[in-house]
Amino acid sequence: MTDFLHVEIGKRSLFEMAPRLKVLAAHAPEYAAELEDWQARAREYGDKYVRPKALEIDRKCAADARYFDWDVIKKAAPFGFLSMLAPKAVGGAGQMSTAFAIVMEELCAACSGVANVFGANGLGVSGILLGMDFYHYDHALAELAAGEKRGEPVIFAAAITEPLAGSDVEDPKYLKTAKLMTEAKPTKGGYVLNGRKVFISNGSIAKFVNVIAPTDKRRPLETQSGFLVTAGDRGFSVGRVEEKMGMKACPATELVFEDCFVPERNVVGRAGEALRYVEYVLGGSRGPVGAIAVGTARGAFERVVDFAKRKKIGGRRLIDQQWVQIKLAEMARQIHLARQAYLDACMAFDFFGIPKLMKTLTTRLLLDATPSFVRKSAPLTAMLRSDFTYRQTQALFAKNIDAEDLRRIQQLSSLAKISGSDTAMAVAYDALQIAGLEASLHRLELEKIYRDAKLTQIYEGTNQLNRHNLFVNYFPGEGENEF
Amino acid sequence: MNSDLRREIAQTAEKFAARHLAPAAAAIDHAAPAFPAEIFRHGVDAGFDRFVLPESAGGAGGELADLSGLIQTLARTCAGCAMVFGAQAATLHALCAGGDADGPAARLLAASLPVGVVFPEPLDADDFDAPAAAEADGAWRLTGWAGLVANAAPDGFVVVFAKGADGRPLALLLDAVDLGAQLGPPEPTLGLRAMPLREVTFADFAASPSALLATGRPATDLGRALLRDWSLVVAAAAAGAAAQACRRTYEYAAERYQGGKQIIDHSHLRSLLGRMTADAAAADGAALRAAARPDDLTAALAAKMTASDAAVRVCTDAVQLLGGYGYMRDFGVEKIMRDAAALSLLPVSNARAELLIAALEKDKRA
Repeated sequence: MTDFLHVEIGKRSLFEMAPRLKVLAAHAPEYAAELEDWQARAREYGDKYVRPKALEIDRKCAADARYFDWDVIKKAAPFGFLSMLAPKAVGGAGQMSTAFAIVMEELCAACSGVANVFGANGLGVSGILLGMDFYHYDHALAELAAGEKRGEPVIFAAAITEPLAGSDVEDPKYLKTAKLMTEAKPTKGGYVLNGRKVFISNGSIAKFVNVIAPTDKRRPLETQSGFLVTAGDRGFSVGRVEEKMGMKACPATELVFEDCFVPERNVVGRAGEALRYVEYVLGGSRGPVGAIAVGTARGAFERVVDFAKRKKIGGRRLIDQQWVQIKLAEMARQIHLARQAYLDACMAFDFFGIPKLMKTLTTRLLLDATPSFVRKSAPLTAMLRSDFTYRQTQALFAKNIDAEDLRRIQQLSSLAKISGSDTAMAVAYDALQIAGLEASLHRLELEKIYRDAKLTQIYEGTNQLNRHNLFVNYFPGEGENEF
Repeated sequence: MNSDLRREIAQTAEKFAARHLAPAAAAIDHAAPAFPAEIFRHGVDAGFDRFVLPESAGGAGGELADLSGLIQTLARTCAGCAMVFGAQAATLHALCAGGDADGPAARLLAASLPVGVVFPEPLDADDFDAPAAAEADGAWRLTGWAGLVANAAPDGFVVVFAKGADGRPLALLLDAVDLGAQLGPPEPTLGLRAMPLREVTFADFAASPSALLATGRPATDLGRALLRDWSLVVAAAAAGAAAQACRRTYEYAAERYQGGKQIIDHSHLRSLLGRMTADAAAADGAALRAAARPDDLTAALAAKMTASDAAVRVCTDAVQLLGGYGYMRDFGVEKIMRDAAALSLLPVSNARAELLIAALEKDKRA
């Protein structure tokens, strides 16, 4: 009987996987080399530390949903995946969504459950990044980078989904009628947060959680904000840890807020503007989610190719049988196209989206040329949070970011997420079919990948919501009176 | 087909499922893999194992269509448990087809013990892959990997296929106790966890001559009869799983709101629900059609493919429509999705069933 635990799986180069990156290398060799380097790091970590433990972690989490394998996450510290999106000025790698997506594909090919810890961390970090509040950069993100350097992971999460509102909270059209439970009432010096969030990836292990909540739940469109909550804050607790079908290595938890005080300084971005930030964040994160799904598909593909090379039926190896060859070719096609879709989304986001603001002279002066202690000083923080700075930032935004590009980013990000996740399910299912009854066995990993793959069609906005998002951004102005 | 009888069977199955399966299904799914001996005993007491055997063989004389209805109803509560009875009834039915009153089925019936089957592949020819069998000292000595057995209990029996030195196929009925270490432990699996899979590998195992069920063409025919009857019950279980997934989804869609209205009132989700309903109906129809053609292996394989493919689509969409809740164990829909996918692999995967159907059709036309 074949099992894959001790099998070295052949992998292809980044340029073979994405020929456009070879073109990129001709124009921006350093950047292309960085992307190759991130891929190599992710492969090394995935092969050395993740794959050998993936099934064991899955089983332990099935027995006890609260189990979390800190050891495998700590092993990632030297590779820098947790802080790779944080700016270099605070100790991160200053990478953007393309590099992150390439890393996610590699990690997911090893185990998408473990990879999702890094993915959900990236989602949490993205919210802070796009808030563009340097106070948070110098505190939360600096702590993230410092922790990783010490080998003590600091993990982020984003809390958006509510018990009675999943897709509702990710779409402006639906948000106004969403049945929200969480609310942050203004009080002296800050806000008091009450309510519950559910299915929050990394919820039980995160030190920092970006909680999206309105200050008036009757007017969520106008009052939605992000609140940075820290594990251990009074009134903040972890509720149930869900028993999921797959991606078990990454806990999905309920977060409970009972009169949890959030100081004014922990508002992420501008109060009342979280809806816009959520859109930006999802525009940036759905590409990498497409990569998560592509990596999941690749995990199934690589394993079943190996199986087909070893398994004989009727005296012939499966891989020598035409029907298997055609199925494998179809899987390779789907994976390749879905990969191009996520690269489109990520590169559009990185080069035409909010990250452009990080490259403006003003931002670089503040981040790269200003010492951290000056940036952290109370007068500068107050100045950066003033109405004047807000207006300047808006002007900077208007000057650098094209509304059409933002719309295109929304299209491409949803397209990548749908393409990747549908590919993950299709490939994982076909892998089961090729391997036959043996595929049902846990030790062959294919059944785990099938369970893992399904989540990619659900989270980060269901595929239905993403199709709707794709439509409204593809046909602006249409569909106002949908049924 | 007697509709009163079918209604009575459905009512009996519903009561049985409510009493014995519903309280245990989630726990069996979550526990370490093991054969559900107690539930099996209750099913034997209810006569599920001998449901389609002729009265002369101690059975209830039911038709395969009635068995299909029974399994479908049980599968709405737990497809894995339904398959325990479906596999048992299918195996006994196939073994009885030879009409030998004192044959192996009679032995099995008398013992009331579970019997599993290792299906050889490919079954489109006599030269399927199987362990080597050599006659020596009045016994069959078996060597090599046989495959995975479904529905094997530690105290039950296993049907295996082997190939003699001359390439002749053999079918053998082996006592699981005698098999000892040749029978691997029950393994964790994707779904149908009430019916764990175990690996069978022979290391010069001596099987007594009385274990021999058939040799040559009759052995291949027995393999095909088992494949046919298992495919019939897989189709029925898949139809049951699809129906249950549909029911759960409609319930959820009527109580969950999005954008200020019930999600069932969103046209896109109606489209999805409508397709799920049609797929579930197709699964039901395919199962019934095949049950009405008891000797037709092609029809049985086609039904198993159609029904389990439909069930996979329906159950995957059910999880999708329930969103995060669908993916969590509490709601039970993820279990139905896993069970449906496992049904698509039993007794052979749908992709391999396609090849077999075409080969059989080619033979018919030759």
